[in-house]
Amino acid sequence: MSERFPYPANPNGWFRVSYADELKPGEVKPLAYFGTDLVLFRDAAGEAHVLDAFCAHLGAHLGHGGSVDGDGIRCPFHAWKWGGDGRCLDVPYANKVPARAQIKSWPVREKNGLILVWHHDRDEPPGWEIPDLPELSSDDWTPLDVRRWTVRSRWLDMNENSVDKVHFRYVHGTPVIPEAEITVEGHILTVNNLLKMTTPRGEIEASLTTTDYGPAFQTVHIEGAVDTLMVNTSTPIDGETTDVSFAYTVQKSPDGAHERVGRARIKDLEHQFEQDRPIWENKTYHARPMLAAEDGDFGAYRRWMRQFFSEAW
Amino acid sequence: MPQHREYPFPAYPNGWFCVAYSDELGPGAVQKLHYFGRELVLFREPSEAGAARILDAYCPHLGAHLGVGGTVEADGIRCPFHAWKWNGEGRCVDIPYAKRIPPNAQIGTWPACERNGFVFIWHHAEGAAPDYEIPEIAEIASGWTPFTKLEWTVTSRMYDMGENAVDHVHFKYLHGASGAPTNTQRLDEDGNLRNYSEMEMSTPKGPVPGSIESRGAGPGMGVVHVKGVVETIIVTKSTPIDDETVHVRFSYTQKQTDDERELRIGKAMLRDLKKQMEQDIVIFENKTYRTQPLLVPEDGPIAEYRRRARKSYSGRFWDE
Repeated sequence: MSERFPYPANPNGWFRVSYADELKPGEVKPLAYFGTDLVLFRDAAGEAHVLDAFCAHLGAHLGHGGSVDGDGIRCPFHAWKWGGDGRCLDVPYANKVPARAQIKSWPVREKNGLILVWHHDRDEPPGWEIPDLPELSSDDWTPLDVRRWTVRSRWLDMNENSVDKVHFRYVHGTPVIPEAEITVEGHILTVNNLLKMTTPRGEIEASLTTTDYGPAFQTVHIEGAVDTLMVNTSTPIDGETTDVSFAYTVQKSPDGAHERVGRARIKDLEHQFEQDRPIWENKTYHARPMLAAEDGDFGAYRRWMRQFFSEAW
Repeated sequence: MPQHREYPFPAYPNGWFCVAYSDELGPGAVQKLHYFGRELVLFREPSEAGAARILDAYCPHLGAHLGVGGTVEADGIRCPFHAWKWNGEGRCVDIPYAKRIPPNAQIGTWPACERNGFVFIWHHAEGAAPDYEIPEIAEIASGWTPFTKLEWTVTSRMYDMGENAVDHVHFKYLHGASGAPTNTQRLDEDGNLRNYSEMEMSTPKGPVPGSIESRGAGPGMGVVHVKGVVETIIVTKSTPIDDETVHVRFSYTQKQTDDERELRIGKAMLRDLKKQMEQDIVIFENKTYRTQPLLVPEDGPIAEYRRRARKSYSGRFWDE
């Protein structure tokens, strides 16, 4: 536990470990997430796998010099080969593979252009799935425009912003505090904000809908003028730092006008991120914040968030 | 460096401790502080004569750090997150979007004072109010050069480092001082240590009689007055950052003079002061604290230092 956060560092759920197009068949990458060393590889048939990094034999890191061999990854140290399920498939110099040779294999899904792993601190199997987002497989929407940051904070703390309507006024300078409607269904939290947006053609009504699917996968739909979708993902590096990525797509228009507005909006969203960042990187999480009656519904957010931890805190 | 040293005494003494230089805290300025293992915010009220104020860093509302993006107004500091305003007494005086301020809205405050160009915080393990004042250094009222600032972050504890003041033997063997100085010490009525040494100071033109007088002002500050070839004053200040790190500040001033030679000697003394501190730091950062050191009669009054320095701490020492 850290001084700033009174809850465990790694919630249970699905976490992005890579964008799908960053990992070609046969490619191997070392990862450091959840305070753990991992290896990500795509086997010859194109399936992505995540294993604990260290060879069960003599401890070499499979992500540094390991190579894909058909349906598994071969250790650079003594050439033991491990399948995507973490079983040892071959020890080239030995008559017999030790019966209990096993490395932890993490559940993986490839979806919406992302490679996701399931983290559960008691190793329980996935309790729910990330949905397919139709916009990401449609030719009517632009390819994902990806931004990445390493932030000295934890996503579930940063993400309180989604129910914190007041901060839009004082951190981002919106003219009024937007109205927010919050619904919770199991692991899904939806916040619908109605707000006024300024466009070249004057002020319009717009809606901004933030949906969290578990503790680390979020979509933001902005409707009005130009429809925009953001896919926000985050993965804990350790208890203090998080790998955060926002990816943007807009609905195309024949004259390219939407794309231009979309680019301006991305710039604005990036600017907002930089306004939030010094707050995030220096704040603490008060277990009992002192709230004013006009504040957003932090209670609903925090009750939702607690389900992603195995232990009460 | 040792990963972990166990000290049989608390990390934080009670008293006034330097947290900033007055000339680096303009009207309306805000500084993020980390001392006593805690995040704090220091700010100066917006007028020229505005008081320096120290509060706990984290807004009681949703936890933003007031020292990162907080802004000072006439009657307090406004949080960068949701614009709650906290005054110097720690009361919430405004929530711009709310009809009503929660009646128990209060942030922790720390006594602060300003003397001799430094801002001090009062720390007491049991929350007691200040029971002494930081004295004005009368000598430097006029006719002295502006302070030269020296700073170090040292992995040690103040109680252990403080022994150096009475350990006159180390001057010879660590710093290469020529011969043991004559040394008289006495305890002032206010409990502070006063140390007076006379020695010969070596100069290119041969030895010159000189003296060093040092006096404490609680555990966090000392004044060292050096006379001889040139007259200098060093104000030493130490503040615990956390239970294994100390922030040390030395402020050096020399009597104003047009004499080129005296100015040169002053500069050399400043270089020497830096060198000596750096020699000490190597020892401080790697030594252990012996509860029962093996002493010879010729050593300085280590045991007496320890008995006296303990008075600045709340509670018992583990070795008692």
